[in-house]
Amino acid sequence: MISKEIARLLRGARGRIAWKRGLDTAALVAAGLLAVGFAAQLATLIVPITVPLIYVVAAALAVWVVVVLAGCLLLRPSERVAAHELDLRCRLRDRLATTLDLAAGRITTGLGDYLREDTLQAARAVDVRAAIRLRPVLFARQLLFLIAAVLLWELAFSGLTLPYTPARQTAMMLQAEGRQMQSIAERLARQATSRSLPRTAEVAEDLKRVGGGLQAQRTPGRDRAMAELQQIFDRIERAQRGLRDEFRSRTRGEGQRGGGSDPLPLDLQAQLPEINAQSQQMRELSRQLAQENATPDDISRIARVLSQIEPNLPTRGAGDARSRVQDARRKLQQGDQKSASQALGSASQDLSILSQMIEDEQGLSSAQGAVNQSQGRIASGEPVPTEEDHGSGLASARSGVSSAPRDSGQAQQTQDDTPNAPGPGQGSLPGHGQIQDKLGAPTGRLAGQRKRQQISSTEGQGAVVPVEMQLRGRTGQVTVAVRAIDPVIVRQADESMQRQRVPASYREIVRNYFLSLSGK
Amino acid sequence: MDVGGFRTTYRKIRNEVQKVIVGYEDITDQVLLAVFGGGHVLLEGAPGIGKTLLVKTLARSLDLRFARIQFTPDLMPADIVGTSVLMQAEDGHRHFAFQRGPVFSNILLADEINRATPKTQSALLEAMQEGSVTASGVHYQIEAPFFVLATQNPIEMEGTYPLPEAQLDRFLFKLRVRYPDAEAIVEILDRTTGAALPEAQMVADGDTVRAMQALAREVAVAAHLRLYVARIVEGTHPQSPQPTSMVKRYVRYGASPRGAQAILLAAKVRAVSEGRANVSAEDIRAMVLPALHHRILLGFEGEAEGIDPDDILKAVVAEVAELGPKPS
Repeated sequence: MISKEIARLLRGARGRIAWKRGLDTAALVAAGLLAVGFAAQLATLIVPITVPLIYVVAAALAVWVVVVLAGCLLLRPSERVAAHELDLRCRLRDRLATTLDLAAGRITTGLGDYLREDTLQAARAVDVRAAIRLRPVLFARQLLFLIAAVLLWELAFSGLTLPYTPARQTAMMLQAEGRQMQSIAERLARQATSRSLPRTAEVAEDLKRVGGGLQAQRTPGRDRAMAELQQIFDRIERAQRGLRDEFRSRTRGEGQRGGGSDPLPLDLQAQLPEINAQSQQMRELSRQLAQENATPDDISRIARVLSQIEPNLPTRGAGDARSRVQDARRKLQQGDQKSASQALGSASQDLSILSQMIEDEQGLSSAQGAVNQSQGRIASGEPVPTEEDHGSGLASARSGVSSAPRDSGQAQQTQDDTPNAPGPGQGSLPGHGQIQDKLGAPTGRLAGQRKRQQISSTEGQGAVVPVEMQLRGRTGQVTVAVRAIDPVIVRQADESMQRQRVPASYREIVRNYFLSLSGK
Repeated sequence: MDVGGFRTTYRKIRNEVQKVIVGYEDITDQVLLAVFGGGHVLLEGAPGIGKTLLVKTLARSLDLRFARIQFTPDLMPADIVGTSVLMQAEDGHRHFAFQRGPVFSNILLADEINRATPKTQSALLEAMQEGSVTASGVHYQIEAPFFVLATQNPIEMEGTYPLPEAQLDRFLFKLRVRYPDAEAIVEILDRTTGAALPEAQMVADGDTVRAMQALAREVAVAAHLRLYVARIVEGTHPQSPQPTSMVKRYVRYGASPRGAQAILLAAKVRAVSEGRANVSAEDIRAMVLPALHHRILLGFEGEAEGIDPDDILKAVVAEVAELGPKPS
């Protein structure tokens, strides 16, 4: 039997040792984790990885807390171990451990009473708190050093890369991406300013900011760049939802039904030039009617024009434009020029708002497309296309916003500003081919105005809108080499494709293969 | 006898010896530890440094029968053990009577033990191990306490017979007596060249010594410390699971279990001499060198390079961690 005093002493020692072990182990584990984090930070000089400081520190902290608590529960020593620890720390000369062995019957001695009394006397002088100090925690210095190193690195060296390393290549790719994005943003901002597109202007500002960030000397890293792009993407989506909600509220009064976040109808977007023209025309007619000196001939001409415009007015989103035109016609018949002029002005205003919404939609879509493409390129490590072969994001940004009809001069001017968009399937990557590679000198088709087309993602639903192209054809003679194709070969090819399970996308290739055989 | 009494008596004896012997506190302590541990001591040192005086002083401070044998090459076993002589009684009857030799004492000083032949040296074997002597087929018990305090001179090797391993193993301690330093020599001159020579007083008798020996054996040893001793002894063997590099390279045979007994016995005496009823790891570490020094047999390389067994033992002690108690 050990005395109560010694038992209490050992209980206290066990608790303190458990805490000490927990703290030491936690510090070791946390230091290890921070060391790994720091090593990963160093590796960012060479390898294009992102090591978020917050995650490293938070993980180290979380592990520290968990290990301390687990250590207190799981690393609680036995009485004998605690006794041995106290013997060592308090220079008790193994009195406690021997006394415990004596109490447990592990040893026999005629000096048992003396030993117990001697141990008790020695134990009374023991201060467990002083004997088993929780501080200094093992590896505390290393832990502090690593925390300082990780923080210092984040502040001073984060984003730096060594030349000729994959990290530097990624950084250069991000910087190129940033330049590209800023260029798109500036273009969008110009167009938003000239056409008063508030949502597009906001998004353009965001794009410009992100583009600037990506171009910084210390690049933010691939993951952070992706995160920022995702934020922009989400912001664009929110803007699109706002725009579409507004459009839906306009169409609700017209008895139209639309999806929750469906884009503005494609046919409506295709009508944008027409809508602009109608708005312009109605504004002009309104101005003419507002003049006092309008002759009956003028009025009858205006009425005729209105009767031509009315059936072509957009069926959705135009607010009360149609009824206002009808009202204007009625007023004209009644000889009330002033009211007719006001009605036409309002109708023009309605159309103008609709036009603005469509252009905003297109601007946002093009920005979204550009962000999406950037994300894809950054994720895949694909090189940024040059200005010349810049893809559909830029093209759609241009074609989407400035989709008003242009003459050839306008088209030429745009061609000077921005590179021509490649045709589908051109180049080594879809959508990223270079025009010169495949087609030789640019043709009028590329400078032509392309109308946006979209196909609903649900198979079998949605309308396919044919693309209407305004082209300038290539002049001159075209010579095609005539090759005699044996009808037998053609039949064999067709039969082969019927017999074999050839995927649809490969049928043309297989057919061409058979056809090529005929030439040998 | 209790622990306090042991401690007091021990200190008194020590003080008495220190009155005569200058310096050598550690040697004095180790000799006393061996005496109260019931073991024998081999003192090795150059001539004239006080080995014999130490033993004589110790004998004088204890009220015990003291005998001294000067070992020489022509010394015969009978000169140590005793011999049977033909005796004639008053009635004319003649018979052989055993005349006890100097071994029948409490403290036997075997001076320059390595000068005697192995045969004579081995005459001490039974006495040292069993505390008894057999002569002419008759078994004679030596009265306890019985200590052999032997000396040997490591310098004059010509005409000497190094003690065989078996006999060396019977000594609890082998102590190497160093030359005293200048300060100690001055003190020796002061004490020994004056008119009055210091003399030790008797402070304990045979019963006291026996009681002290019995008490020392009662001292408790924790289980993990017994294991510690065993691991140290095991560590001196090149065949042990994880020998130190020095042991592996220089040691041919390690210490015997008798070495472990020697460590623990001496540690017990050390503990009780400090007023404790339990052995500590420190006691064990302090006893490793004197107890195991002569129990390690160096290999060829060790002998050739003049390796000191103490260095090997220090390495073993440093290597063998004191294991705490196993969690129960």
